[in-house]
Amino acid sequence: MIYPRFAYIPQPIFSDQRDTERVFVVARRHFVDFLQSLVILLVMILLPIMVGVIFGSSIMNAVRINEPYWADSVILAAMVYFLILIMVFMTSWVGFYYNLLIVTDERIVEITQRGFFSREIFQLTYDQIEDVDFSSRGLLATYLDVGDIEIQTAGPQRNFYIRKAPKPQLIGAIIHDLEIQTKNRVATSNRMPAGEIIGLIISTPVLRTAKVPPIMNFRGGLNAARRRVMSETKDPKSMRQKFDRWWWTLLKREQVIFLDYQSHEFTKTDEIKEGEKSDREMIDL
Amino acid sequence: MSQYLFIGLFYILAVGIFAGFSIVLFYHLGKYSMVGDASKRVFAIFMLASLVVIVLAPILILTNNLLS
Repeated sequence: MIYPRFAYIPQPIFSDQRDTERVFVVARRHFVDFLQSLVILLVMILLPIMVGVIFGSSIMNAVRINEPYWADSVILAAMVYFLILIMVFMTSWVGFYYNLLIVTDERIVEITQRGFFSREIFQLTYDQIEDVDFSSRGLLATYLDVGDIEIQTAGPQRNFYIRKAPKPQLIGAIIHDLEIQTKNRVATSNRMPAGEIIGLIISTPVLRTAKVPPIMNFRGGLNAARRRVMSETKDPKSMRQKFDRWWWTLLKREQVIFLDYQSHEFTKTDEIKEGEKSDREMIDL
Repeated sequence: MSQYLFIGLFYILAVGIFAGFSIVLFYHLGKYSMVGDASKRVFAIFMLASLVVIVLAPILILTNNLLS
């Protein structure tokens, strides 16, 4: 089974991921949702080129643009046009690529990115879930196994609505299993989807019997793995190592927060709120 | 001559705005990307495509003026 390359590097996916918090699903919207933007971009690139090739000389003759100054202006306008296209495309890509659904053994995290300057992170614990529905409509959606997932919540929390998710039935089943186990008071560390497939990393299902990708953090020790990755590039020699080091230290604010979180020594009272039972006290089913 | 000055200034302005956008994009990629995901590759393709456009424009303008 082939996993995405990043699956081999354990790392916190979101800011306050616990060292022992296991990840079952990391999914972004299916690529089919981005296809529309891609097709529009291709048309917008090809259209002026085709018009220029077919009608270029006729237009130039009709408006009598023979002076170099006017030709320079046309070249400049074309450059600006293509740069605007690239910028619009990248803005659309950021909106697509940084939308994530993360399902862990403790909660569901939905990261919604709209353009560059709007990022919302919603979290939902399993005891807040009322019902999990999924729907798949249309030929393409059925064929590519794409659909919408709706998680109805109890109380004032808004419902979760995940559009164009890959393998919605599988994600729905994983969430449902974890929800049932939470309501049966199964300890967090013992929660596990009941089916043969225990996870979905981007679009790759993870089988119970197969090697679990490190990003799922099944053995815990996320922080130790992070330290190892950082120490490997501590004394960079090659250009690649230098680049990686530079990239890593660039900001990664969420990961810096994660390290701060890890360095905080938790006491028992931090973890167990008043009136709640600890995981150890819960019955393992 | 002033028309060429205008073209030059317009070019610098367009490239400057684009550079600003690239910095914003780079910041976002650094902040939100997961290690090993496609962000770095997409950013590299983005820079390559835009550099082709930015470099090609003055080359075409110079060629056009030399030929005419």
